[in-house]
Amino acid sequence: MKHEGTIPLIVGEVFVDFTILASGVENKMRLGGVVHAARAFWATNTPYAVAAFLPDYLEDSAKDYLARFGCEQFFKLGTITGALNVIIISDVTEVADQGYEILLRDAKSVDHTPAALMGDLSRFDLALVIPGTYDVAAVLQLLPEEVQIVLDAAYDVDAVNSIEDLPRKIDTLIISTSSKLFRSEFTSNFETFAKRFSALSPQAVILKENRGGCRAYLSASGQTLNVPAYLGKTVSSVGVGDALDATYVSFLRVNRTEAVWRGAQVASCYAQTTDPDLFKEYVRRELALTMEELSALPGAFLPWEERPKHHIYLAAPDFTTVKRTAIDCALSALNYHNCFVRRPVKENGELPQGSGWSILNATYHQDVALLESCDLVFAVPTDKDPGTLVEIGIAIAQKIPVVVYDPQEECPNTMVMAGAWTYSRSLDECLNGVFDALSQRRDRQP
Amino acid sequence: MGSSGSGRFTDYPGSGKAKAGNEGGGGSIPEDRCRQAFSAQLEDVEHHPYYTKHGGPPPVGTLLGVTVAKRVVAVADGEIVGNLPTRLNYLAACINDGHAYVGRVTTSKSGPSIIVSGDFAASSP
Repeated sequence: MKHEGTIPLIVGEVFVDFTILASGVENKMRLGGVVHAARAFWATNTPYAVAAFLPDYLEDSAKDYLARFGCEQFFKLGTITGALNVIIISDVTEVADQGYEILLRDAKSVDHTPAALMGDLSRFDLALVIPGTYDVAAVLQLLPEEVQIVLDAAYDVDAVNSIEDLPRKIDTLIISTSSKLFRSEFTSNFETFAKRFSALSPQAVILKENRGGCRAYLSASGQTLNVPAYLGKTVSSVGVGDALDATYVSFLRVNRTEAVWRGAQVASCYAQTTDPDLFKEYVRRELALTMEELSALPGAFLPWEERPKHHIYLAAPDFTTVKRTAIDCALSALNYHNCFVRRPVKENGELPQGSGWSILNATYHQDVALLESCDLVFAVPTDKDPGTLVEIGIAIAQKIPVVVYDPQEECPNTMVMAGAWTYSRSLDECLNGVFDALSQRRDRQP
Repeated sequence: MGSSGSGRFTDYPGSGKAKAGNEGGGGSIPEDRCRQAFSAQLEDVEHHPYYTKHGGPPPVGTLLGVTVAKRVVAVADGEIVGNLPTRLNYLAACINDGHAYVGRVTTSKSGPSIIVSGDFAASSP
């Protein structure tokens, strides 16, 4: 991408992302923080510069790495001390809270580089700012008055008032549904939420909604742009939001609407491989699709506030006395994504062994009625629980989509696997199935 | 005791081709998704030309191709049989880039619930 103005500048911290993978799989270490955005600029053939805070020990390797990824200039904004800036990541697919653990985070501090030694940032007219431990306002002061700022407030921005007094105008504010800011400020709908930031007068507020797509409120028109997610097997969701940000910036001066679509498109590619060459190849192919071709492809679109309207029936031995690991993982993931899970065992009661036929019969009919009222059945057939398998069968017969999460592959049975909307040992694939099925259901509603 | 995947940064451009392992791990050589075979159950079969013209789904063994008609679709004898699931949307970019896919119907069922599924293989440009 070529720009009419200067090349874009990425502002933020350089981290080391260390992902702990399953036993027997080699763990993954790569540079993170602003480097995720850098990879997306590189993949979209967009020249860029980086202004970053990082520990001294990372400086040479980060500069070398970024140079190989097309970074034209590097500015060291300051030194991270007291911590290695290493993030331990335990859930690479973000089925639930990713559980980022920043080592020594409480001991971390930032020494700003004296302006005289830093280099000239005053010529950049477009910047992607990813907040961190540093003083965002102080850094923005280094940029020219007329700079166009795209601010990702997904992390390290906990309150609206912390960004209301920034010394530069914010062109675009990008927020994620996984951020504290979103969870503390969102009330009823996206437009109301976007207007919470009216003091900043942004041209756009973009909400990244994970598997549910993304939305952009465009101030000039007062319209909301809905962009679906193109779900595939998630290899790593770490940095996916940054890839969206960078691509949005790459296309911002071409067309703001296209910038959002292309951002989502490249983010999807970033989630599906951690191999840089393959990522760039995916991006090359994807960007060859015209906007008309891209926007004609249906994807998953399920806004945050609509998710609880689609009730999900939990078919599982949801009892206090059974192995609960898989059930609790599923519940945690569904709750994290704002799904409304109906738990028959909790709602209609956990019957003691030896209960009489009358109470069994009454509870059976209550459970079936609850199942039939739901939009989807999420099944966890731990220990081949017979009740769960019957519930799967009822749902299939009622044409209610069934997603079967079977992490131990206890039920790799023809009827279960082929009858389900999704059958997988992977919670990531099962969540994709939930979003895909509910999104299609939403599309069919009048 | 040694360590794995954390000795140095290795994911430079051009660095992935010499290594082996699984995607996601430190030493990975992932397979290009455009080159991968896949299986899929087709969607909305009853609304597409093959079904309306022939009065039923294509029989097991029918040769299928894949093309883009706004959505990514499977075709038989030049007629659209059904949509491929949206998880396979990436095939639009693959096909646009010269990749092609051929398959066979593996399941074909008429009645109140029309089921057509197929296995597909990729051929690269």
